[in-house]
Amino acid sequence: MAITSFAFLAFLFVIFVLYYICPPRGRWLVLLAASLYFYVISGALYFIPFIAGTSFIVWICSVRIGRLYARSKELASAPGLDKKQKKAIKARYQGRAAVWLFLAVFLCIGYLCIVKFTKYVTAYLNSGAGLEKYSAAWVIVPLGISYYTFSTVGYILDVYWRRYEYEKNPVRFFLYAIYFPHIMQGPISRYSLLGQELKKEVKFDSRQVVFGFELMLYGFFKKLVIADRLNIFLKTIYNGSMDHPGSLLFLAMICDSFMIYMDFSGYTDIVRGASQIFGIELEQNFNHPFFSKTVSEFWRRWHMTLGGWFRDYVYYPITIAPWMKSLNKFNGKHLPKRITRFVTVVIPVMITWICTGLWHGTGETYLAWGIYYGVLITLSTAFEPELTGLKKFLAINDEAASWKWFQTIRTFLIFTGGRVLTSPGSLANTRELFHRIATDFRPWILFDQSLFTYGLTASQWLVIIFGLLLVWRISIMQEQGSVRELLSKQNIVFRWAVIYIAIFSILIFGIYGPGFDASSFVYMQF
Amino acid sequence: MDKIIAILSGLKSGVDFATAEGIVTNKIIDSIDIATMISAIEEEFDIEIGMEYMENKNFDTVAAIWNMVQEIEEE
Repeated sequence: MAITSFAFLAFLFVIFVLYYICPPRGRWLVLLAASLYFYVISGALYFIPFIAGTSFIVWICSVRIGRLYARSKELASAPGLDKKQKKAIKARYQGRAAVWLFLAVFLCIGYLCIVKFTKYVTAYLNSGAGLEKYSAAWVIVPLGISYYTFSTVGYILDVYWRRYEYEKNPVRFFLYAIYFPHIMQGPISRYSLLGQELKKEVKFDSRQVVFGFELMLYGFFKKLVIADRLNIFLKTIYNGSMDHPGSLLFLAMICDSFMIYMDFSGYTDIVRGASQIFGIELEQNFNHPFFSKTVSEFWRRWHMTLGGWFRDYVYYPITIAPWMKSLNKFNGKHLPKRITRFVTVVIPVMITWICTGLWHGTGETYLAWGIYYGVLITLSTAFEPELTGLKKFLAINDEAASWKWFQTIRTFLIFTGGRVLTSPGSLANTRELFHRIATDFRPWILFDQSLFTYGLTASQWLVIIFGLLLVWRISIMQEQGSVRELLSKQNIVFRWAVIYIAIFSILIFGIYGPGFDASSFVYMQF
Repeated sequence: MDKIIAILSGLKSGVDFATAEGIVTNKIIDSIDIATMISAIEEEFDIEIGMEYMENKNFDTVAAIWNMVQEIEEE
């Protein structure tokens, strides 16, 4: 069931009625039933054993870990033990807990790797064999596997690191894994947040319902009015060959960045809004990334839950791993301070970014994408003293508006450069695209009506430009405070006028209906 | 606590870390600075910071870092 379909809205309405009719204590069961129905309708019935199996394995391992820790605490609190003995008990039980952790992580990440890599490996083997000897058709790809695997693995790692207690109820844990607003494309929710939200006894709050509905409308606008319209143009450009004038390819690069933002942040707004209607807060996934001044800042504002996941469960564990500390100590004694710092940065950053790339896809394009960001962030950190010196030499004022604009545009173009590694489909296409831009730019193509032969008319482009300007203006307002809060303080006539204008804008300017597939969000493929 | 303030000041100048709040949550220092800070704290106090302490709340103020160091020393 596509979340941009009328069927989803009808589904949401039915669940809304059932949810609030039900007594508060049982409302989570309505969400569980709704999530199961949504998962089966959107995917297939035979996907259920996979997600149920994953959550049950992770839950049972977390129970084992929790009980081992409880036993360890009990033994260590016995009278007459010295510090060393207590430490030995703790270490022994930590070791046993690690076995359960390994089992859960190995099974979950193992199957995710099978899903991600089998297609690529069989294609590689077949290219060597010269025929279709190997097939990847046997691999079942359950809906949302990349997202629910990360959510559940994050939970068990937190339990192992004693950040919180394990969940006692397996059914509640299953709801956390399968909760319908976040199952398909995230946000990759933390158990410490969503798990607790789902335990709340929610009371009907009309304000929350209205706020949720407004957020959904904003998401529909971004997706149906802007992203899907841009996609029409992009599909005619990125259609396999790069046989277009360079200026059009450059325009496509820029449009592609706006499209992916409107598509993914639009999706996130819709599901966060839908969840808010039920009084359940989902984590923020975007914080106006195009206002970022550096690449690092960009990735703290874009797909925040994925970035946070990799930071907490990949980057930090590598950074404070005993082997990494030993390496840093060795380097500190034998190498200049500068090189030691470089090594401290390069290893965890490169591993984290290559893993992030491979999470998105396993081909050469995503590997290149991961290396691209890893190298950029490493270099910007390694050469920070030189860059600061250069800024001083050029007498650059950090507070000058022109400098801030330069930084923002530079970050946007760096992001666009990363998108160009994956969007055209292959690195060969990316090379061809840059070659065309460099050798066959022909800028007049953009002004002689040719642009309107690529799927979008002049009025369609106007809708896009107006839509982007509107989102930009709203984003500036959001940076200063909650727009929905501001709207709620206005007179009722004005409030409803805004809501009706939004609804009719989506109905009139949205791209949907027969003959057009609005269901395919870009991040769903990951 | 002075030692912790000195370590933090070495990472980022122009910030009054003695009174700063939300050092990690408000992105006063980034994840790369955090890695450097952990190495420096471990070396200074001769402790090992495990993953169970890698939470924002343990690094958001100088007092929180100091409490964490003391907790690890007591273990």
